[in-house]
Amino acid sequence: MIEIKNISKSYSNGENRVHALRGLSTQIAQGEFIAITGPSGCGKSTLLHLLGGLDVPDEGDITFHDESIVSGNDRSLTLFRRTHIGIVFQFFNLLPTLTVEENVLLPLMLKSIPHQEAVGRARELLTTVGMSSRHHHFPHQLSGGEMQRTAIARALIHRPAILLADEPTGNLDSKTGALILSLFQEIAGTGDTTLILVTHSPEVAACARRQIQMSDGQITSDHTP
Amino acid sequence: MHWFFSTLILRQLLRHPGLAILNITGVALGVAVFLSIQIANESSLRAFRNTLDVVAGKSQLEIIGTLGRFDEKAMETVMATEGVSAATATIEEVCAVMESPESNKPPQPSTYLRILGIDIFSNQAFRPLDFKDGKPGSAGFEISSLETLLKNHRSISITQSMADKRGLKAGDTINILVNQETIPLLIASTFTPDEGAIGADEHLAIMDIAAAQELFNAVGLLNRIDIRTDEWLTEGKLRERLDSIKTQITPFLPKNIIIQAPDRRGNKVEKMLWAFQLNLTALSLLSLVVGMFLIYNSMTTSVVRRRKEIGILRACGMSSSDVQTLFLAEAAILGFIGIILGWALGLGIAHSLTGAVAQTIRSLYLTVSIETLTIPFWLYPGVFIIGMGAVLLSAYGPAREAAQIAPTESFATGNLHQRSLLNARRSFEIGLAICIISGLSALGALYFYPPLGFFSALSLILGVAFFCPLILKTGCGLISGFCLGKGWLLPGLAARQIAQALNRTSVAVAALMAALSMMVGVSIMIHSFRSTVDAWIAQTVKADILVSSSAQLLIGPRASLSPAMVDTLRKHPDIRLVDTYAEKKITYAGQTIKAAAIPLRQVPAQNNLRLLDTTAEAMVEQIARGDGVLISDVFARKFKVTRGDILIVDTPSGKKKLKIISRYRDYTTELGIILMDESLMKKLWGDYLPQNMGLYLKDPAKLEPIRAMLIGQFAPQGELMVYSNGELKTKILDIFDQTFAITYVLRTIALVIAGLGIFQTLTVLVSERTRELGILRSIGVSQTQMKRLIITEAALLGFASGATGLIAGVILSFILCYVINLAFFRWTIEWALPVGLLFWTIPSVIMISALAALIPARRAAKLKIVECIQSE
Repeated sequence: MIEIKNISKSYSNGENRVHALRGLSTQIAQGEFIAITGPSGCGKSTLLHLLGGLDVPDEGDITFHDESIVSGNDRSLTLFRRTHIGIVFQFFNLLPTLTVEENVLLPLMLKSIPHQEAVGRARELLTTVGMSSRHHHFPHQLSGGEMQRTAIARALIHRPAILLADEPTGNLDSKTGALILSLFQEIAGTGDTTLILVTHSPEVAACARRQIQMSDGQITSDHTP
Repeated sequence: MHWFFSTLILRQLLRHPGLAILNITGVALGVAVFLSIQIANESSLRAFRNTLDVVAGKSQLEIIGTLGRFDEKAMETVMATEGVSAATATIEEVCAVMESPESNKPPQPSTYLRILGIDIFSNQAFRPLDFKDGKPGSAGFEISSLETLLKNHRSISITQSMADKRGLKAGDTINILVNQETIPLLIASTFTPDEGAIGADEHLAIMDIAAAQELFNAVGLLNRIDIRTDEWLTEGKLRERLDSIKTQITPFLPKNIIIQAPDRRGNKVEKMLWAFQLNLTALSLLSLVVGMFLIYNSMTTSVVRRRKEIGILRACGMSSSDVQTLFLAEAAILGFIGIILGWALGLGIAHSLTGAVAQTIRSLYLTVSIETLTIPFWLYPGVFIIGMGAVLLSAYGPAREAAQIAPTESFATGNLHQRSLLNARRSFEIGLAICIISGLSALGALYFYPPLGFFSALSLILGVAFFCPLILKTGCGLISGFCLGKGWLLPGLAARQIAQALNRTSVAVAALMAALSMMVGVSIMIHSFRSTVDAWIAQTVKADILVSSSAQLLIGPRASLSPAMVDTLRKHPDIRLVDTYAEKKITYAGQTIKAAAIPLRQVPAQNNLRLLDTTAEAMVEQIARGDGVLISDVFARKFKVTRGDILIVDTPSGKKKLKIISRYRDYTTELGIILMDESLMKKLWGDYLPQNMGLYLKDPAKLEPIRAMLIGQFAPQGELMVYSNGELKTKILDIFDQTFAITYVLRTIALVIAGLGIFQTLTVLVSERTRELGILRSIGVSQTQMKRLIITEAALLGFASGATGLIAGVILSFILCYVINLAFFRWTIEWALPVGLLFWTIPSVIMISALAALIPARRAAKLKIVECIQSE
């Protein structure tokens, strides 16, 4: 489903150039649950951003169902994200001016789904993640775990083909983190969504069916435990 | 502290120069407008005082007539008075200079001369004038200029400055208009006033007094006698001597002549101009007030943006007062730079503003010519104090807020959100209290102290500004709820964002609202006034042809029409009726007013006077019975008199009791008019010399032939202005529009400053929300949608400003028309709404706001998603 061909990405850091990814290649099948691990600065978040269409590589290609996602313009990348990608961030990244329900509805409003239908789906999803009683609250009124559950609901509402999670438990206590992980396992269990999770925690990585280890911008190990 | 200042404040300013420039621009514009208006006001007053200085010279006392010229026999009394060491007589007149603009065009008034007829010998003790005997090498001109002035009764000396500007020299001829006759005068010489006279008026000219008396048909009459006593007296002794002279002379002077110190004449003029200049000052201060909103907005933003920094500083041990000082210092730096730039800009625009102010003064009050700009000494520290005061006042609130941020609070955004809600409610209550104060001030202005009217207007604007947070919160809350409920993401998100960022958005809206309310209020006031005057013109200007001296536009109603011309026209077979109007400036209750006269018996037939207390027929009956007069409604308000009251008026034939028959509506002058029948003016003043004439034709189709006849027979040299009814109405309204030209400039500047506020707010909102904007982009909002989001926010801000500004402006117009106008000028204004203008106000503001958002919108769309979502 996703093919990554020899991608490289670097950033300038003042006078220095940081090579985040160096000629990385791999393939990802539909429905896989992958954990990408590695030390800080190894390029795992950069890889996630490229997979999510948030950025484009300097070299190489990424294809989704045999169609390149990096060769298009900003509009095509935006459409790709809107249609096929759901992202869960370490710091939740909910919009502070919207309620829980409104945050979850965002992707469907962008796709012009009829409002009644969208609200129905949002409430259903919020029930699934255990947030149905908080749907009129604002993010600043929620705990970390509640915010992350809301973020997961937002990332799934439009039924994306790929769910990306960047250190989703990094800002949570262990109990809440475990709850979130179990949610991810449920999602992965359906087989409908490809779940790619970036983490530096071996315990979190162990929940995935496939583990890719990275170091210095390259894949050092790729195995199914 | 220095280290903190340079690392935290200066570095921040250098990192965000755009916002600093915006702040500086707001202050600079506000300061520039205030400064230029003060320069214009002072320059016009100084120009008049300079004229007085040169005219009065070294006079220590002056004798003048309260009703115009007086008998020169008073000079004998003066010369016989003990203590008088020197005295000189003067006659004075202002005449238009007639010049042909091109060789094939008839002459027309091009400038004016203020002619002093002086006793050349006795004058030297008062105003030494350096006469020049022509320029070296001038052909055949060897006679001394003084001899020429004495021998040739049609000769004159003009200033070197006037001669240079018109390419004239001694020996040339200059044509002046005197009582509808063009008189050529030989230029005997040029002169420069005494070095002691500051910036003397180039329009001054000198003639021998006897020649001037003959020329102005004033033989045996004087305008003024100047008096000096011994020079070696100490100040105390001098005062005693002058008092003694006054005491000796006064019993021998006729009733209509007074003796006074020369500067008292200037005081009367300053009083006359005071209201006009105060209004201009108030308008100019509004630009500064709008600039203050800008400073407040940017300082608040600065505090919010740096709250983490402040928290860290506090955690490290910096005191709250030091934090407050740092932010005030930042504001002070920006304010200082803005004031310096404002000075430069203000001097630049002072020239054009001074021209506009001078034109208005000439149209409404007196003849004045401003040659040089005068910067009063107090303005140097004054502008700095006012400007810096405004800046620090605006910055105080945000600086105090910064000082109150606790180290732990600075890391939680939730508190800021909640604080916005609290502020909105409390802000509304404060606004309500201020609006009540505004209402009370309005009453105070009408009954006790007129300047309270400005305070009322300012408090209204301030009060409505305090309503803005709650208006935005409620309005945007409703809009966002509705839009998001319908699935309309962008408008819903935009409205929600505005409601959640009240600390910034409400200030931007308040600033634009303040500028708009002034624009709307002044527009309604001007429109109301204009339509009232228009209706008045329709009723009172009914003659088919209107005639006056062509000099009137330059020198006001000084030149009278020839009585012989009036008589001739009365007998013309095509002219049904000749209406005339004469006026004189007199003093009543210590103030300058006008005594005017028309043939009141013609009023019923022409219906050209809007009487307020009686009918035209009843008025004519009462006039026939005794010495009754009409008073303008402005006069009635100014002196608090009404129908049936008795006025005691100084006339050349003594004090006269005149009964008020009725008030009438008038818009020709704010000085106030006592209107009488022409026969009464003849009786009391000894003459009736009309300055204006209206001709009613038997056949209106004969207008052009009669106009041609008038010009051909009575004004071949361009001595008359002849207007058709339509032309005069247009002319009057042109003059009306001209007098308000200055207000259009001032309100435009205020709008520009407010527009900058919208731009600033949006720029800051974008930079503060990079993470949120990145999130939106990450979940699929396109660049186009991002731009639309920001522009929608701007449009909503514009709509909020427009709606509140419109309502506040309508209320403000009532204060302008029925409080400030009545308290200062006393015109009757029938309030009218310019529907067309107001219809476009809100759409225009929305468009301006959307335009202001283009750059911030583009920036938002171009944000790099990854950098945004990774930022905290």
